[in-house]
Amino acid sequence: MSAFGIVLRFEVARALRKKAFWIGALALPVIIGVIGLVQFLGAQSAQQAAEEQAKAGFEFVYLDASGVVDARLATELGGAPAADADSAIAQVRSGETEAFFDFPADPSTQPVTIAGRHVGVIDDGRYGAVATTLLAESAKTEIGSPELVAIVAGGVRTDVTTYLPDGSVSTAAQSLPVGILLLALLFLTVVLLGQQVLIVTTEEKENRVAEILLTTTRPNAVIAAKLVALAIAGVVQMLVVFVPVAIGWALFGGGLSIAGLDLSQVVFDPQQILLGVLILLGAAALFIVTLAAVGASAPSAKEAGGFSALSIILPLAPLYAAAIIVTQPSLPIVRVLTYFPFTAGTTSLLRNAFGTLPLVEGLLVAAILFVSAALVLRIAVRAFRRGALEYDRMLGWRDLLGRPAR
Amino acid sequence: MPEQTDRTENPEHTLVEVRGFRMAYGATTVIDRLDFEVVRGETFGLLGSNGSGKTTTLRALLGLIVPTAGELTIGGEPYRPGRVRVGYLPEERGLYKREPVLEVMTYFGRLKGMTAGDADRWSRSWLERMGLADKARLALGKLSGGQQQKVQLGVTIMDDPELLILDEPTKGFDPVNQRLLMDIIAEQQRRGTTLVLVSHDMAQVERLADRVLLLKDGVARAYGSVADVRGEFGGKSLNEVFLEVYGTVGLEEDAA
Repeated sequence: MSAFGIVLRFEVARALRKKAFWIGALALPVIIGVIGLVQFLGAQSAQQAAEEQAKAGFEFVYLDASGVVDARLATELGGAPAADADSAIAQVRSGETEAFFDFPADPSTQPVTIAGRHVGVIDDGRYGAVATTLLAESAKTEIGSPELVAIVAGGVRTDVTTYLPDGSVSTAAQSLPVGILLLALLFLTVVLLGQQVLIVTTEEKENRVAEILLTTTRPNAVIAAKLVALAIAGVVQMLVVFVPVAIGWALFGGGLSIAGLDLSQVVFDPQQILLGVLILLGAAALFIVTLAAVGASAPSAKEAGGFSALSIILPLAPLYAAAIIVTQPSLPIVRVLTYFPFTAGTTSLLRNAFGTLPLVEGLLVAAILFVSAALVLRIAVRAFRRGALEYDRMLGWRDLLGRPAR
Repeated sequence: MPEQTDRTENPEHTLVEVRGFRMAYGATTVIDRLDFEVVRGETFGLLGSNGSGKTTTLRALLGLIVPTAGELTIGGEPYRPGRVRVGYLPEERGLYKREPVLEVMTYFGRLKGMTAGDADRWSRSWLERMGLADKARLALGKLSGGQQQKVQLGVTIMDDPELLILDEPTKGFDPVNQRLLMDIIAEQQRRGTTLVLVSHDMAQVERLADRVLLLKDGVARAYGSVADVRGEFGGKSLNEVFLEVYGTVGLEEDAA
């Protein structure tokens, strides 16, 4: 077996043997699941509490300048007309009644003034809930038609078909989830592998094993095998995260929906997927070799951490300009972000997801990413070799770009 | 400058050759001009105080650093891993502390060109000899310092090296392991292995070495067989020669 193969096998086994690896791989889906569960339970609880508050029986008096409030409904909820605002407030303060609602002439622009007895921060919310419910139900009664009520309440669904200039049907909206998924994979790479790359490239130095290693085999084989091993470990981690999702998709497929998005309508656009995968691989490769170069230049992972922050921030930075990237892709700043290697991945994947990245431009970006990764890899190998004997200092640009070692 | 015996009339006799070696870092010259040879089968002592350039010379010989000038060869060519079997015990030493002992040894054995089976068998045999057979599956970091040194020694000699380079071999070794190291060196000498021993322990080198080179300020101050070097300095021990070479200059500076 070649030196590359021997190192690769050893490094993959090392990576998969680390507890931290499996904790990192399993933690993400567990954390996502827990957050989702908490959010779901919290939303249910909040909705339940709001409903209970709305249904909570208590006595109140009211004045209605709008003429919208239905007296019958108000009586059902425990209300009675008030004589005037001052006496109603006095009643609340003395405890004769629990609340007073003063509905303004135009509730759509003016607030409903409420006075109520304090029963607790959370429970005090029932007053607003009941007043709102009374007004909304009274308005529905006024409308009279259930269909009109549904329209007003926003219960209208749409089914949109858009056409491209050549007359074909556009699938940009339906293929959006796939494009976003590819972008998410890039972020996962940054999050899951960032720290590991630093550790992997500094540990020979920290363990003082670099000298023996470099006199036993060539540094190119070592660094290349380490990075490939890391990529393999990253793929394993992503499988751990996504295999359950894929199984769920296979089993429940058309019934899955996320936040109102019907996933059964997702379209797999071959061009989008091809471009997205190429850009993802190029961006991930560039990210990994850049961190490897930083790690190999530093005497320890701790000291590399500060310099590596830039390598992690740059791929994420375009998110702050996501709105203009998506809506105005021809702007000069978007062009710069598209072609600058360290921001190209995120920017291009965003544009690809929203269908604003032409094929030729996408292939050009992918080429830029792969060429940049190859150049940085050369620097990483040089840094690994030259940095192997530097236990106390960070390599400088002269060390990295100066006269090569044998 | 001491006369440096030229043995190139029989190049197959020479394993290590250093010609015109110079090493400078910016304005600082670590090695000014160095020429020496190491003959096959001999034990060669490279001596000098801290910072005299011994480790720099070794690193240049092994291709870890690029010399400013000169040519350093092993077996007639600049060193490349795999061309000549070299066992190297560096001054700064360590192995993968979180990995199992047996796996680390087998890994380096395979990198040195051994088959997986041979590397595994040799490693188990070595651990047995060192009384560490029951620790084969433990992480290396869980072993004591002395036990880790034994593992490191094993990694250094496991592929039956033609050339064994030991940089400050007894540094950090407890007395028990120093004894072990001496046994290993003696064993390698009996096998005809060429040894380059870097040390500032003169007494040790005097016992072990056939020829020596004493470095000071990047230049050879003494070079030749132990007997010849001692003879040049009036029959003094190597330790006294060292003190004379290093101590005399200090006195001259004071006088000036």
